[in-house]
Amino acid sequence: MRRQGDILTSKHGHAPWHRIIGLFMGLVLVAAACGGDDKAAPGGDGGADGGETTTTADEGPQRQPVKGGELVFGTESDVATLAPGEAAQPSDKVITLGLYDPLTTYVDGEVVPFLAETLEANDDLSQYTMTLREGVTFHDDTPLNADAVVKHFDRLKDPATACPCLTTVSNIASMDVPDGPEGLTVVFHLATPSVAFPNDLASSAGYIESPTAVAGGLNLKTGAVGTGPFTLAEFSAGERVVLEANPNYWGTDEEGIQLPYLDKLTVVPIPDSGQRVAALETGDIDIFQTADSKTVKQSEDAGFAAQKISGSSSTIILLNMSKPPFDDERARQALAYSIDKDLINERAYDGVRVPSYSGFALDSPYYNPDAGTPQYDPKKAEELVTDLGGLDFTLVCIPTPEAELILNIIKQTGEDVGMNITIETQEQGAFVNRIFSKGGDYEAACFRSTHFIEPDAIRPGLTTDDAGNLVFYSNADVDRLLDEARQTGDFEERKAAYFEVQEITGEEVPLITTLYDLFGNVYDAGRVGPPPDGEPNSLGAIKPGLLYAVGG
Amino acid sequence: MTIVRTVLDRLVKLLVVVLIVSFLTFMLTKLLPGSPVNTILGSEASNPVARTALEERLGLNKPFLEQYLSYIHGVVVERDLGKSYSQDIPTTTSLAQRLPASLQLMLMAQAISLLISVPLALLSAYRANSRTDKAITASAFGLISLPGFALAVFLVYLFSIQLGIFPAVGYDRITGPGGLGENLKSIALPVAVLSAGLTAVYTRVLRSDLIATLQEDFVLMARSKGLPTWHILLRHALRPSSFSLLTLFGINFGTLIGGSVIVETFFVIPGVGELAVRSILQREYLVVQGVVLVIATAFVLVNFVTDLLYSVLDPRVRRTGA
Repeated sequence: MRRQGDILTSKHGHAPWHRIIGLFMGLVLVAAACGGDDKAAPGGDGGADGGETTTTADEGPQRQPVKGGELVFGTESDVATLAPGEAAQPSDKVITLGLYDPLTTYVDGEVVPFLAETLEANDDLSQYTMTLREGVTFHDDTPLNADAVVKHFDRLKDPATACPCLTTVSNIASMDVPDGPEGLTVVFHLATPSVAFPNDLASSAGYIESPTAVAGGLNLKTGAVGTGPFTLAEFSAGERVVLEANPNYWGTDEEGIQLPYLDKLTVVPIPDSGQRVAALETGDIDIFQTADSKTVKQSEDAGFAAQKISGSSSTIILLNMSKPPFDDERARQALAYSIDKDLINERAYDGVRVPSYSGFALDSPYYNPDAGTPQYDPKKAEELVTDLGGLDFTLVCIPTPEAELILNIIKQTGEDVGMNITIETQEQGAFVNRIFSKGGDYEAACFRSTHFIEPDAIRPGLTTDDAGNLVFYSNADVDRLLDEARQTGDFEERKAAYFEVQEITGEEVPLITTLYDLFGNVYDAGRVGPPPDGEPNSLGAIKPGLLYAVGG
Repeated sequence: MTIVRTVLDRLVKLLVVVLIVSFLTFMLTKLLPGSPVNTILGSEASNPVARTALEERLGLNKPFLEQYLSYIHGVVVERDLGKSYSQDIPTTTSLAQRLPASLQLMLMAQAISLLISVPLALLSAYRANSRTDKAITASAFGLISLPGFALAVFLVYLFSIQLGIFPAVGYDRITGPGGLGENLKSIALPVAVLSAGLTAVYTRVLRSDLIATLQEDFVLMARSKGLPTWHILLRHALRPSSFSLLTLFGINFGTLIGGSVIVETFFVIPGVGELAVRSILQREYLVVQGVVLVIATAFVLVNFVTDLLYSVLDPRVRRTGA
């Protein structure tokens, strides 16, 4: 239920939403298992990305990575920013995951140290002690040490940096470096105990940049000096971003082969979905990412391989509870009962998506299948509308062909049960302004909700008076449950709390989830080896260090 | 002396026009709902601390007029068109990166259109109402009716996918490793799409004017003197028939410097048009302002040159000081 990005966002313009994604990715929590000596091999080599992102295996050959070669990767939109703490949309992530290493990452759904060697929490989750990997250097040969980490978080915490992660990193009250700035240990003291802290470090807020480069005036939005498997060779906005293998990279795969596999990766933005397929056919690109399920199907029909990633987000409808008609629970329930998700799936997505009834992915351990969330039931919807004496409202969305189709179905099924729905479309900037204006200048609005592995990610969206609560939902029990769940590392306690939250919100319907999004990485199997699994919380983005060219 | 005065007069007018355009653009972008703060901060935009800090850093907390005057001061005194809010890229850098592609696209499209349309129009007008004329006119009409994006899809299918001659997307700079050859290959299809529409319009306009000119007495006189047809067409008829063509040519010059949004987006050409649209959507006020300044200046300058060329085409214009 963590909201970020419009569901019906134009494929050409995700820009505003990656900022939101960045924030939400930061608002995460801790897994107690995160301490210890777990070591994440940089090369999961196609291992499950785990957690709530489900990768459907394509029918191509098994991964047999080889070193060498160059590939061209097509993205849906131009890169918005490379900055740590800000990069969040898929086109940003596929690049920044190559330039930087996050302090923690996910293995089989568990958050584990990555650039950090260890991360240990104290008993009440108010303090975390991190030890960094030894011998790691940035691309400019600056050594990775405690000083770099402290400077990184001090920079993000400065409001002048304008990081969408500000709220998240502001929970770091102070940092100590017991072994001195040149040492490898950092102790984080949190303002509020949080089990989500290790997850925060798996987002782009956990990408550590070279302090030397920052002191030298590097523009982190268009430049990068990280510790990742690639160095940045070229950044041309709207044209291409070129990554070259970092010969000094510390990471290897499970076979001991030094990463990255590729010598060079060029990332080019191709906004038009038809042109992405054409470019793959002509060999102008070797692989592309897409959030358009029709493109995935079209590409498969044309003989290309497709890696499908589902469950990382859903399309949703926000219901503004601060004003009529959706301040009335019956109105919210009526709309929820009137939406035929199977019909939308069939007509708009060729039946390839899965209806969604929760803020969690289907395979999340926190997903409650018996939460009582309204399912399609036109009779109940009609009864509620009659009880209300009618239901008139405006549903506002960003105009895209896909949105038009979905909205027409919602309008039709709603009007079949006596509602009067006005559809309004508005360009992205104006749309965002309405959603974030004081009190929310909307009645119902299209949006996208990302399902993070860390369940605390749903907290801001449902907490009374939180800046991320765009529907103005308020329930004291939900506030209490979410707070309790955040401050314990006990899985069963947390699960019980989130199950109860889903039952309450299933009844009160502050928003309606429609279908799980489907992301695809489409590639020519003759040129590209099967891609690694999608990164959790990254809307289908993959780690480029694990991509390889067939034949090298 | 007259020419110098005319040039000075035009330059003053140019400055006034650009100033008015820049003010209106500044005002209009501010009137747009939304803010770059929302774009950059996302839901953190609701955080007053973050919002205030960012607004202060970007200077968006100042009154409108102060923002505008500060901008103009930067442009005039420091030759600084500001930076993009989200990426901190100087607008001048963005424009310098984008203008070459748009200029090349525009110049090649215009040149090819003229090279094709002038002979076609001459042939069509000379053989007015013949089968040839009808075929040319119908073809031109068809090309005008054909939307650019549809032609683009067809050309990509034929020349990129089926024949594999040209790339489907991307722009190779002349300075790139592929040199001029790869550059021309990468720009071929976008130029073809733009040229198709321009050629059709130029052919139709020039043909109409030529037919009218060919009815003139001086053409009859030339014929009676036994001058060759090509001589009459090129030396006597073409020049006085070129006013409408020149006007259109000038207008398109200015318009295309701003880039062709559809063509640039479709073929992933890093041009000014694509930059303008993206900047508007992301509320990058200063980049929008920079793009508009470039387009307005180019437009006024090109039309100034066009006016001068009128007098070359017809000395009467020069004499009357029009």
